[in-house]
Amino acid sequence: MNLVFFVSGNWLKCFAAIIKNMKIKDVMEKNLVSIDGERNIIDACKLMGKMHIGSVLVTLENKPYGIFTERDLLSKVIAKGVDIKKAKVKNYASHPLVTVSGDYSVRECARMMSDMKIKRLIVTSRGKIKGIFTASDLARVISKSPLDF
Amino acid sequence: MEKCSSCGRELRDEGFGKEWRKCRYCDMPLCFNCTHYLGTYVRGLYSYYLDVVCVCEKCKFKK
Ligand SMILES: [Zn+2]
Ligand SMILES: [Zn+2]
Repeated sequence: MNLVFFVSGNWLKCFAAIIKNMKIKDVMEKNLVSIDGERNIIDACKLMGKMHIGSVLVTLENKPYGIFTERDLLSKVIAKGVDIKKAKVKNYASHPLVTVSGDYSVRECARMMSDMKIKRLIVTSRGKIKGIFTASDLARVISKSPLDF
Repeated sequence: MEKCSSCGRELRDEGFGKEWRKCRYCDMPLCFNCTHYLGTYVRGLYSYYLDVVCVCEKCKFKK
């Protein structure tokens, strides 16, 4: 019985250490959902609803331009009475994209998001977008860690 | 062994990148408790991005 506790205690410590040093490139969302910036806001809303996501990458001529988030929808669109069937996503997206290297640890990215008051970080490598790391990814990683994380 | 330029905490060499980093602007060592973050414009493959870098408190408010 003691052996079981000893082994599981060590395992928990190992697991906690792995999570502490985990890099965001290993836990980020690699499949970024994007929308053409020329489309209307209602299309972006429909896409976000369909995919159960809180933001979409906005592209212009197939190149990443910015990100349209729930916060943009509330503060720039709904609060100002913008017509979502006519307004274009590109005019209400957050630009430029806030990026970070995938080599940062999950813990450090949590600090970045808190320090910079943002909920999403676009992960890049050599100037190219590789994925997105969001506050919900952070919650997912932490929820799988031991309670003494 | 380096020391945090802000709080003086000792920083193990093997902890670089995991427990401490250097300020992007003044290159002084910083423990994670004293690290601040700042967005700086960088030219990406397709457009400009606001890349997050770690800085010390002095550099954060200087910029
Ligand atoms: Zn310090
Ligand atoms: Zn500095």
